[in-house]
Amino acid sequence: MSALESDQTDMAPLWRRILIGRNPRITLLRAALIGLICWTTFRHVLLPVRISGISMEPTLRNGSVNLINWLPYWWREPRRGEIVAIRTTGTSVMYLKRIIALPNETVEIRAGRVFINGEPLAESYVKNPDPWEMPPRRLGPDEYLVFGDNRSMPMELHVAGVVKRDRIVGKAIWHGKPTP
Amino acid sequence: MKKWHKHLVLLVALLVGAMVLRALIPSDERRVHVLLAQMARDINEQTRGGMLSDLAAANRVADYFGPEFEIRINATGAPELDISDRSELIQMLLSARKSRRGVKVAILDPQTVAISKTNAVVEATGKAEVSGETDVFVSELRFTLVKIDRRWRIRRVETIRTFE
Repeated sequence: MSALESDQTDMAPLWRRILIGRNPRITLLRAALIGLICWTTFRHVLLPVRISGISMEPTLRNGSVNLINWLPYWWREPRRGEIVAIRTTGTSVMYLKRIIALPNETVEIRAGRVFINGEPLAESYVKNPDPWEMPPRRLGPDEYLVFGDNRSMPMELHVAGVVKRDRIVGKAIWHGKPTP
Repeated sequence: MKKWHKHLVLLVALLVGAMVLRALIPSDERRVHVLLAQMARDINEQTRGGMLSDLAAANRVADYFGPEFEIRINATGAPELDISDRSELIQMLLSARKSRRGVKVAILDPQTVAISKTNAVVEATGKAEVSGETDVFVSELRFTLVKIDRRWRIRRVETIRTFE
Protein backbone atom coordinates (compact mmCIF):
# COMPACT_ATOMS: atom_id res chain seq x y z
CA MET A 1 0.00 0.00 0.00
CA SER A 2 1.40 3.43 -0.91
CA ALA A 3 1.95 6.19 1.68
CA LEU A 4 -0.85 8.22 0.12
CA GLU A 5 -3.36 5.35 0.43
CA SER A 6 -2.26 4.69 3.98
CA ASP A 7 -2.88 8.29 4.89
CA GLN A 8 -6.32 8.15 3.28
CA THR A 9 -7.36 5.05 5.26
CA ASP A 10 -6.11 6.62 8.48
CA MET A 11 -8.21 9.66 7.72
CA ALA A 12 -11.38 7.56 7.44
CA PRO A 13 -14.09 8.66 9.90
CA LEU A 14 -13.99 7.06 13.34
CA TRP A 15 -17.37 5.33 12.96
CA ARG A 16 -16.17 3.68 9.77
CA ARG A 17 -12.94 2.54 11.37
CA ILE A 18 -14.89 1.07 14.31
CA LEU A 19 -17.42 -0.65 12.08
CA ILE A 20 -15.28 -1.97 9.25
CA GLY A 21 -11.69 -1.34 10.42
CA ARG A 22 -8.84 0.41 8.70
CA ASN A 23 -8.75 -2.02 5.83
CA PRO A 24 -12.17 -3.29 4.65
CA ARG A 25 -10.58 -6.15 2.71
CA ILE A 26 -8.88 -7.55 5.79
CA THR A 27 -12.06 -7.04 7.83
CA LEU A 28 -14.03 -8.95 5.21
CA LEU A 29 -11.46 -11.73 5.21
CA ARG A 30 -11.56 -11.93 9.01
CA ALA A 31 -15.37 -12.00 9.00
CA ALA A 32 -15.37 -14.79 6.40
CA LEU A 33 -12.82 -16.76 8.43
CA ILE A 34 -14.82 -16.35 11.65
CA GLY A 35 -17.97 -17.38 9.78
CA LEU A 36 -16.23 -20.48 8.42
CA ILE A 37 -14.88 -21.43 11.85
CA CYS A 38 -18.33 -20.95 13.45
CA TRP A 39 -20.03 -22.95 10.69
CA THR A 40 -17.55 -25.82 10.97
CA THR A 41 -17.67 -25.81 14.78
CA PHE A 42 -21.43 -25.69 15.22
CA ARG A 43 -22.19 -27.97 12.30
CA HIS A 44 -19.55 -30.68 12.64
CA VAL A 45 -17.97 -30.45 16.10
CA LEU A 46 -20.34 -28.98 18.68
CA LEU A 47 -23.93 -29.32 17.53
CA PRO A 48 -26.38 -27.13 19.47
CA VAL A 49 -29.62 -28.92 20.37
CA ARG A 50 -32.81 -27.96 22.14
CA ILE A 51 -34.22 -30.66 24.39
CA SER A 52 -37.84 -31.46 23.77
CA GLY A 53 -39.51 -33.90 26.13
CA ILE A 54 -39.19 -35.12 29.68
CA SER A 55 -37.41 -38.45 29.25
CA MET A 56 -34.08 -37.13 30.61
CA GLU A 57 -35.55 -35.26 33.57
CA PRO A 58 -34.46 -34.34 36.21
CA THR A 59 -30.96 -34.27 34.70
CA LEU A 60 -31.86 -32.39 31.52
CA ARG A 61 -34.94 -30.20 31.52
CA ASN A 62 -37.48 -29.90 28.75
CA GLY A 63 -36.74 -26.80 26.66
CA SER A 64 -33.12 -26.49 27.79
CA VAL A 65 -30.24 -26.22 25.36
CA ASN A 66 -27.21 -28.49 25.13
CA LEU A 67 -24.24 -29.05 22.87
CA ILE A 68 -23.38 -32.39 21.32
CA ASN A 69 -19.67 -32.99 21.01
CA TRP A 70 -19.00 -35.16 17.95
CA LEU A 71 -15.30 -35.60 18.58
CA PRO A 72 -14.93 -38.03 21.55
CA TYR A 73 -16.27 -41.08 19.75
CA TRP A 74 -13.89 -40.66 16.84
CA TRP A 75 -11.08 -42.11 18.94
CA ARG A 76 -12.81 -43.93 21.78
CA GLU A 77 -15.95 -45.93 22.42
CA PRO A 78 -18.90 -44.61 24.47
CA ARG A 79 -18.71 -45.28 28.23
CA ARG A 80 -21.35 -46.21 30.75
CA GLY A 81 -23.10 -43.24 32.34
CA GLU A 82 -22.44 -40.86 29.46
CA ILE A 83 -25.36 -38.97 27.94
CA VAL A 84 -25.19 -39.54 24.22
CA ALA A 85 -26.98 -38.31 21.12
CA ILE A 86 -28.55 -41.01 18.99
CA ARG A 87 -29.28 -40.14 15.40
CA THR A 88 -32.41 -41.07 13.49
CA THR A 89 -32.20 -41.08 9.68
CA GLY A 90 -30.19 -37.89 10.06
CA THR A 91 -29.29 -35.45 12.78
CA SER A 92 -32.23 -33.05 12.51
CA VAL A 93 -33.90 -35.00 15.31
CA MET A 94 -31.82 -36.98 17.80
CA TYR A 95 -32.52 -38.80 21.02
CA LEU A 96 -30.56 -37.93 24.16
CA LYS A 97 -30.14 -41.00 26.37
CA ARG A 98 -27.79 -42.33 29.02
CA ILE A 99 -25.65 -45.39 28.34
CA ILE A 100 -26.58 -48.15 30.77
CA ALA A 101 -24.95 -51.26 29.37
CA LEU A 102 -22.03 -51.84 27.02
CA PRO A 103 -21.44 -54.39 24.26
CA ASN A 104 -21.26 -58.06 25.29
CA GLU A 105 -22.71 -57.32 28.75
CA THR A 106 -25.73 -59.10 30.16
CA VAL A 107 -28.35 -56.71 31.44
CA GLU A 108 -31.43 -57.36 33.49
CA ILE A 109 -33.98 -55.14 35.25
CA ARG A 110 -35.75 -56.28 38.40
CA ALA A 111 -38.30 -54.02 40.10
CA GLY A 112 -36.78 -50.98 38.43
CA ARG A 113 -33.20 -51.85 39.42
CA VAL A 114 -30.65 -52.45 36.66
CA PHE A 115 -28.22 -55.37 36.95
CA ILE A 116 -25.15 -55.61 34.73
CA ASN A 117 -23.65 -59.11 34.56
CA GLY A 118 -25.57 -59.87 37.74
CA GLU A 119 -24.26 -56.84 39.69
CA PRO A 120 -26.61 -53.98 40.64
CA LEU A 121 -25.87 -50.68 38.90
CA ALA A 122 -25.73 -47.56 41.10
CA GLU A 123 -27.85 -44.90 39.42
CA SER A 124 -28.10 -41.77 41.56
CA TYR A 125 -29.58 -39.84 38.63
CA VAL A 126 -32.80 -41.91 38.60
CA LYS A 127 -35.55 -40.61 40.88
CA ASN A 128 -38.77 -42.51 41.67
CA PRO A 129 -38.39 -45.30 39.12
CA ASP A 130 -41.36 -47.34 37.98
CA PRO A 131 -40.89 -51.06 38.77
CA TRP A 132 -39.64 -52.02 35.33
CA GLU A 133 -38.92 -55.65 34.56
CA MET A 134 -36.67 -56.97 31.81
CA PRO A 135 -35.40 -60.53 31.53
CA PRO A 136 -31.62 -61.02 31.19
CA ARG A 137 -30.37 -60.04 27.74
CA ARG A 138 -26.85 -60.30 26.41
CA LEU A 139 -25.93 -57.39 24.15
CA GLY A 140 -24.22 -57.94 20.83
CA PRO A 141 -20.67 -56.78 20.03
CA ASP A 142 -21.83 -53.39 18.75
CA GLU A 143 -24.95 -52.90 20.87
CA TYR A 144 -25.53 -50.47 23.73
CA LEU A 145 -28.48 -50.27 26.10
CA VAL A 146 -29.65 -46.69 26.60
CA PHE A 147 -32.38 -45.25 28.81
CA GLY A 148 -33.59 -41.82 29.79
CA ASP A 149 -33.15 -40.79 33.43
CA ASN A 150 -36.88 -40.31 33.87
CA ARG A 151 -38.16 -43.83 34.50
CA SER A 152 -41.28 -42.86 36.37
CA MET A 153 -43.49 -44.05 33.53
CA PRO A 154 -44.26 -47.64 32.44
CA MET A 155 -41.48 -49.17 30.36
CA GLU A 156 -43.70 -49.44 27.24
CA LEU A 157 -44.09 -45.64 27.19
CA HIS A 158 -40.38 -44.94 27.50
CA VAL A 159 -38.63 -44.44 24.16
CA ALA A 160 -35.32 -46.23 24.69
CA GLY A 161 -33.67 -49.60 24.37
CA VAL A 162 -30.82 -51.22 22.50
CA VAL A 163 -29.03 -49.24 19.79
CA LYS A 164 -26.23 -50.05 17.39
CA ARG A 165 -22.91 -48.24 17.80
CA ASP A 166 -23.23 -46.44 14.44
CA ARG A 167 -26.28 -44.58 15.72
CA ILE A 168 -24.38 -42.95 18.60
CA VAL A 169 -23.01 -39.74 17.14
CA GLY A 170 -21.81 -37.66 20.06
CA LYS A 171 -21.75 -36.88 23.73
CA ALA A 172 -23.76 -34.21 25.51
CA ILE A 173 -21.50 -31.49 26.94
CA TRP A 174 -23.70 -30.62 29.93
CA HIS A 175 -24.85 -33.48 32.12
CA GLY A 176 -26.99 -31.32 34.39
CA LYS A 177 -26.34 -30.63 38.06
CA PRO A 178 -24.69 -33.42 40.03
CA THR A 179 -27.18 -35.24 42.19
CA PRO A 180 -26.56 -35.22 45.95
CA MET B 1 -8.78 -10.98 -19.03
CA LYS B 2 -6.12 -13.07 -17.35
CA LYS B 3 -5.99 -16.77 -18.12
CA TRP B 4 -6.92 -17.87 -14.58
CA HIS B 5 -9.81 -15.40 -14.58
CA LYS B 6 -11.18 -17.11 -17.69
CA HIS B 7 -10.88 -20.49 -15.99
CA LEU B 8 -12.62 -19.18 -12.89
CA VAL B 9 -15.48 -17.69 -14.92
CA LEU B 10 -15.82 -20.98 -16.83
CA LEU B 11 -15.89 -22.97 -13.58
CA VAL B 12 -18.55 -20.70 -12.06
CA ALA B 13 -20.59 -20.88 -15.28
CA LEU B 14 -20.38 -24.67 -15.22
CA LEU B 15 -21.48 -24.81 -11.58
CA VAL B 16 -24.41 -22.44 -12.18
CA GLY B 17 -25.35 -24.43 -15.29
CA ALA B 18 -25.33 -27.69 -13.34
CA MET B 19 -27.49 -26.14 -10.61
CA VAL B 20 -29.99 -24.79 -13.15
CA LEU B 21 -30.10 -28.14 -14.93
CA ARG B 22 -30.65 -29.92 -11.60
CA ALA B 23 -33.51 -27.55 -10.76
CA LEU B 24 -35.13 -27.87 -14.18
CA ILE B 25 -34.69 -31.62 -14.63
CA PRO B 26 -34.61 -33.14 -11.13
CA SER B 27 -33.52 -36.74 -10.67
CA ASP B 28 -36.03 -39.33 -9.50
CA GLU B 29 -34.40 -39.30 -6.08
CA ARG B 30 -34.87 -35.56 -5.78
CA ARG B 31 -38.45 -35.82 -7.03
CA VAL B 32 -39.25 -38.33 -4.29
CA HIS B 33 -37.66 -36.18 -1.57
CA VAL B 34 -39.52 -33.11 -2.81
CA LEU B 35 -42.78 -35.09 -2.88
CA LEU B 36 -42.41 -36.07 0.79
CA ALA B 37 -41.59 -32.51 1.82
CA GLN B 38 -44.55 -31.22 -0.20
CA MET B 39 -46.86 -33.77 1.43
CA ALA B 40 -45.78 -32.58 4.90
CA ARG B 41 -46.48 -28.99 3.82
CA ASP B 42 -49.93 -29.97 2.54
CA ILE B 43 -50.74 -31.81 5.79
CA ASN B 44 -49.80 -28.68 7.76
CA GLU B 45 -51.62 -26.29 5.44
CA GLN B 46 -54.14 -24.12 7.22
CA THR B 47 -57.46 -23.84 5.42
CA ARG B 48 -60.14 -21.24 5.97
CA GLY B 49 -61.90 -23.76 8.15
CA GLY B 50 -64.87 -24.58 5.92
CA MET B 51 -65.92 -28.17 5.31
CA LEU B 52 -65.23 -27.96 1.58
CA SER B 53 -61.76 -26.45 1.90
CA ASP B 54 -60.88 -29.06 4.56
CA LEU B 55 -62.11 -31.82 2.26
CA ALA B 56 -60.10 -30.41 -0.65
CA ALA B 57 -56.97 -30.26 1.53
CA ALA B 58 -57.49 -33.85 2.75
CA ASN B 59 -57.98 -35.01 -0.85
CA ARG B 60 -54.77 -33.26 -1.87
CA VAL B 61 -52.88 -35.23 0.78
CA ALA B 62 -54.62 -38.48 -0.23
CA ASP B 63 -53.47 -37.86 -3.83
CA TYR B 64 -49.88 -38.53 -2.73
CA PHE B 65 -50.90 -42.15 -2.23
CA GLY B 66 -51.45 -44.73 -4.95
CA PRO B 67 -54.76 -46.56 -5.52
CA GLU B 68 -53.52 -49.34 -3.26
CA PHE B 69 -51.60 -48.30 -0.19
CA GLU B 70 -51.07 -49.06 3.46
CA ILE B 71 -49.98 -46.91 6.37
CA ARG B 72 -48.77 -48.73 9.47
CA ILE B 73 -47.28 -46.36 12.00
CA ASN B 74 -46.66 -47.49 15.54
CA ALA B 75 -44.62 -44.92 17.44
CA THR B 76 -44.18 -45.13 21.22
CA GLY B 77 -46.58 -42.82 23.00
CA ALA B 78 -48.49 -41.92 19.84
CA PRO B 79 -51.77 -43.35 18.59
CA GLU B 80 -51.27 -46.31 16.28
CA LEU B 81 -52.15 -45.74 12.62
CA ASP B 82 -53.29 -48.57 10.38
CA ILE B 83 -54.92 -47.28 7.21
CA SER B 84 -55.25 -48.89 3.81
CA ASP B 85 -58.31 -47.21 2.38
CA ARG B 86 -58.52 -43.76 0.77
CA SER B 87 -61.82 -42.79 2.41
CA GLU B 88 -60.43 -43.89 5.78
CA LEU B 89 -57.37 -41.72 5.21
CA ILE B 90 -59.49 -38.71 4.24
CA GLN B 91 -61.67 -39.25 7.29
CA MET B 92 -58.61 -39.35 9.54
CA LEU B 93 -57.18 -36.18 7.99
CA LEU B 94 -60.53 -34.40 8.36
CA SER B 95 -60.88 -35.37 12.02
CA ALA B 96 -57.29 -34.22 12.66
CA ARG B 97 -58.16 -30.88 11.08
CA LYS B 98 -61.36 -30.60 13.09
CA SER B 99 -59.62 -31.14 16.42
CA ARG B 100 -58.85 -27.84 18.06
CA ARG B 101 -55.27 -28.71 18.86
CA GLY B 102 -52.95 -27.96 15.95
CA VAL B 103 -50.63 -30.69 14.74
CA LYS B 104 -47.45 -29.83 12.89
CA VAL B 105 -45.88 -32.61 10.87
CA ALA B 106 -42.38 -32.69 9.40
CA ILE B 107 -40.61 -35.31 7.30
CA LEU B 108 -36.91 -34.85 7.89
CA ASP B 109 -33.60 -36.24 6.64
CA PRO B 110 -34.89 -38.45 3.80
CA GLN B 111 -32.39 -41.15 2.84
CA THR B 112 -32.89 -43.12 -0.35
CA VAL B 113 -32.39 -46.81 0.37
CA ALA B 114 -33.18 -48.10 -3.12
CA ILE B 115 -34.45 -46.55 -6.30
CA SER B 116 -35.22 -47.79 -9.80
CA LYS B 117 -37.24 -46.30 -12.64
CA THR B 118 -40.54 -47.42 -11.14
CA ASN B 119 -39.88 -48.15 -7.46
CA ALA B 120 -38.24 -46.32 -4.59
CA VAL B 121 -37.65 -46.93 -0.91
CA VAL B 122 -36.89 -43.90 1.23
CA GLU B 123 -36.32 -43.75 4.96
CA ALA B 124 -37.03 -40.51 6.80
CA THR B 125 -37.73 -39.19 10.27
CA GLY B 126 -41.32 -38.23 10.90
CA LYS B 127 -41.91 -35.63 13.59
CA ALA B 128 -45.29 -34.52 14.89
CA GLU B 129 -45.77 -31.68 17.34
CA VAL B 130 -49.11 -31.23 19.02
CA SER B 131 -49.54 -27.68 20.27
CA GLY B 132 -49.72 -27.50 24.03
CA GLU B 133 -47.97 -30.84 24.58
CA THR B 134 -44.44 -31.19 25.91
CA ASP B 135 -43.41 -34.28 24.00
CA VAL B 136 -42.92 -34.43 20.27
CA PHE B 137 -43.70 -37.69 18.53
CA VAL B 138 -40.75 -38.93 16.54
CA SER B 139 -40.68 -42.03 14.42
CA GLU B 140 -38.40 -43.28 11.71
CA LEU B 141 -40.48 -44.16 8.68
CA ARG B 142 -39.90 -46.23 5.60
CA PHE B 143 -41.74 -45.02 2.51
CA THR B 144 -42.18 -47.37 -0.43
CA LEU B 145 -43.13 -45.51 -3.60
CA VAL B 146 -44.18 -46.57 -7.07
CA LYS B 147 -44.28 -44.57 -10.27
CA ILE B 148 -47.75 -44.48 -11.76
CA ASP B 149 -48.37 -42.46 -14.94
CA ARG B 150 -44.94 -40.80 -14.61
CA ARG B 151 -45.81 -39.65 -11.10
CA TRP B 152 -44.43 -41.00 -7.84
CA ARG B 153 -47.09 -42.23 -5.42
CA ILE B 154 -46.74 -43.68 -1.95
CA ARG B 155 -47.46 -47.39 -1.75
CA ARG B 156 -46.54 -48.10 1.87
CA VAL B 157 -45.52 -46.22 5.02
CA GLU B 158 -44.20 -48.24 7.95
CA THR B 159 -42.33 -47.63 11.18
CA ILE B 160 -38.66 -48.49 11.59
CA ARG B 161 -37.56 -49.17 15.15
CA THR B 162 -34.75 -46.87 16.34
CA PHE B 163 -34.41 -48.90 19.54
CA GLU B 164 -34.75 -52.66 19.68
